[in-house]
Amino acid sequence: MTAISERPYDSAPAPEPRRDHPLDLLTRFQQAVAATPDRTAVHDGAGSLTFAELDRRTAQVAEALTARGAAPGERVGVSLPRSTDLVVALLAVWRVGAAYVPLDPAYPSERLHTMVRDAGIRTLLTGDDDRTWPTDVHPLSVTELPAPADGHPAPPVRTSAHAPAYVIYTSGSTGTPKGVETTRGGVASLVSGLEQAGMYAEQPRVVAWNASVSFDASVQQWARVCRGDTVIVLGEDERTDPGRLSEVLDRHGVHDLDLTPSHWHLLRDDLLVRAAEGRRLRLFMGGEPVPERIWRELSAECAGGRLEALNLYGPTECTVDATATWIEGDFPHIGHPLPGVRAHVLDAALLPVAEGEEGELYLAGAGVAAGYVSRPALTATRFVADPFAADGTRMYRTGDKVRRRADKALEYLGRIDRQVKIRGYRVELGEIEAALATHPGVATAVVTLHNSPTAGEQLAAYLVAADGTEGCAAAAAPTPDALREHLAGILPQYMLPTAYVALDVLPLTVNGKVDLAALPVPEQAADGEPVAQAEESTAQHHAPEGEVETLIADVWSEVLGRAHIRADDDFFAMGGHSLIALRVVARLKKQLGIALSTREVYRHPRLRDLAQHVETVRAGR
Amino acid sequence: MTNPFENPDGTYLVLVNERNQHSLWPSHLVPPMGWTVTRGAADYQTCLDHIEANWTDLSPKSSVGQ
Repeated sequence: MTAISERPYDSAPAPEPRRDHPLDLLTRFQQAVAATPDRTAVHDGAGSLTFAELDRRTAQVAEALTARGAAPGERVGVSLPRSTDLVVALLAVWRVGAAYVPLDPAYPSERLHTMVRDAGIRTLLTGDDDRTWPTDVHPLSVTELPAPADGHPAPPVRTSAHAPAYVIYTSGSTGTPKGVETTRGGVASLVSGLEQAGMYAEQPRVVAWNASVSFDASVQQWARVCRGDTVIVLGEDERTDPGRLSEVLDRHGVHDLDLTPSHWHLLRDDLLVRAAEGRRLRLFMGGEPVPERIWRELSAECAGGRLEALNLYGPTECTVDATATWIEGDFPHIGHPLPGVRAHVLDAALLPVAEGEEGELYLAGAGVAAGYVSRPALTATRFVADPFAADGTRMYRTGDKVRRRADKALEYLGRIDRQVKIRGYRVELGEIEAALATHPGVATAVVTLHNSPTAGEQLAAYLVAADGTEGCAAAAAPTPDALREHLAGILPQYMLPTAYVALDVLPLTVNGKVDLAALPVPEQAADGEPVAQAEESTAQHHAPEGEVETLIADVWSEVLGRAHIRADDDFFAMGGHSLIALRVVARLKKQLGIALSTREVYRHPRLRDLAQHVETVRAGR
Repeated sequence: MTNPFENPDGTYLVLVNERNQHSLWPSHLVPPMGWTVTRGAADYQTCLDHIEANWTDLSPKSSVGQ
């Protein structure tokens, strides 16, 4: 298309009315401290803090940050597990007017160092771990701070709505993660938008903190402390063990729980029992599309008054949630823009498509992030001039295909690119492919999201081995174990493929692109044609022996969708994850009457080791 | 679905607003109000290079208040 567009943008619907700047969350936190100093602000397995205590500790950490030279507008790393200390750290960073950058202690060092350099981090809040950081970074342990000085702490630094709030790294299609920097105004707008929509109750509530701080769903959980809500930090066992979760929900009288549809699938039996018993919960579903089956199930529970459920949609680039809806009716959708958000469904000429037509979703409003840290060109191609506001503000082009229904609700139809969601994690397949290609034995690779009927969604890697040394034919492909180990040094756990299939060539379409439809199904490839000829001694590949090993092998075979399980197989390498671990736990309980925790499954990833552990537990009864 | 911001063979403008935020813009579309053309029509890569070279601080300039 080369002609100048003749249709002016003023034919588009008028922008929805904009609100005045909502109150900054730190200001609201100070109000909550003044209003309910003795109410519990945050609780974790180890203890709790009242609002007054949280305020004092936050001021103390902020003072230490200032003493280290942390300045407003700067980015401060935070590498702590989910805990009361983490809430203290996040609030302290805001208190000095800086932006926090979550650095998950479980990520590979290489990735963390890349993030530290990319974000220009000089100061870092940590716990007691002894991880090494780049030499020019000053780690500051929140657990070893000097006693608070006498007198009055410095008041919070006043910030503008444009001040940075946090940087969340997401998968990048070209091979390196990209940091989305949001604003304090954007976060304030998120909270006030959910309040105005009636989705956050007016009265203070008790909310569970479920998501990792490395993902922005955590913001709509922990930051609720700023509006006077009590935050209950869920431990890893409590998140994935339905029995323990239920116990925590009851003990603290939790009202609100955030979770992904994958997580619902895991918890549903117990949560439905609670719902039937009248222990009503408000569920905030997000992170991935809600499948129709789950939608209808939740919808029926809500219609029966046993549960309240919301579906929330939004890219990290628009500060957590952009649209939301109560889950009602039979068909999944993502609802309407939250107050403060404007949604446009556009065609390739940036003109609104007709109602019911498919288009790309563009989002505008206070929640639009500042951009990608240190990536001006990428920022300028994704955060673009907003022709509908026509006031110099920008809109974010989501890459999400949607259509607007007759009732104006938006329906999610898929991606225009190769970004996928796996169990709620946002992943660019291109980043995994780029990481695979850094292995010297790999010539080229393609990664797909494969839906296994038994194990659910899995990442599958297809690779062509690099040519051998001169004079040799193509070398044998690296083993799956070698590839997995290589990737584990670069990528977080959730981005690791579970199947590796070596091919002589990648199948191509007539256009010369990789023919994804022609790639073999990973399970069949794994069981028939050997995946990348394993070269280890076959003597290591023992068949399972004895009652317990055989039983666990049967369970793995069933839940992981693999025909052949060996005694030295590794749970994670086979595609195991927390949701599958829970199914393993349930089956062991049912068939052997042994109650393990998911953590015990993680601690013994090799089948033989887990079997031995089970024998020990059984003998000890 | 083709996206107007991702055509490597297309012709683009670079727009800038009062906060010094930059935006790529397809040259066949009218630039929105509130934005100034800072780099005339050029190919995709030239525009991206211009943005990389000239937009070094992504934090929005707050000289215009708020």
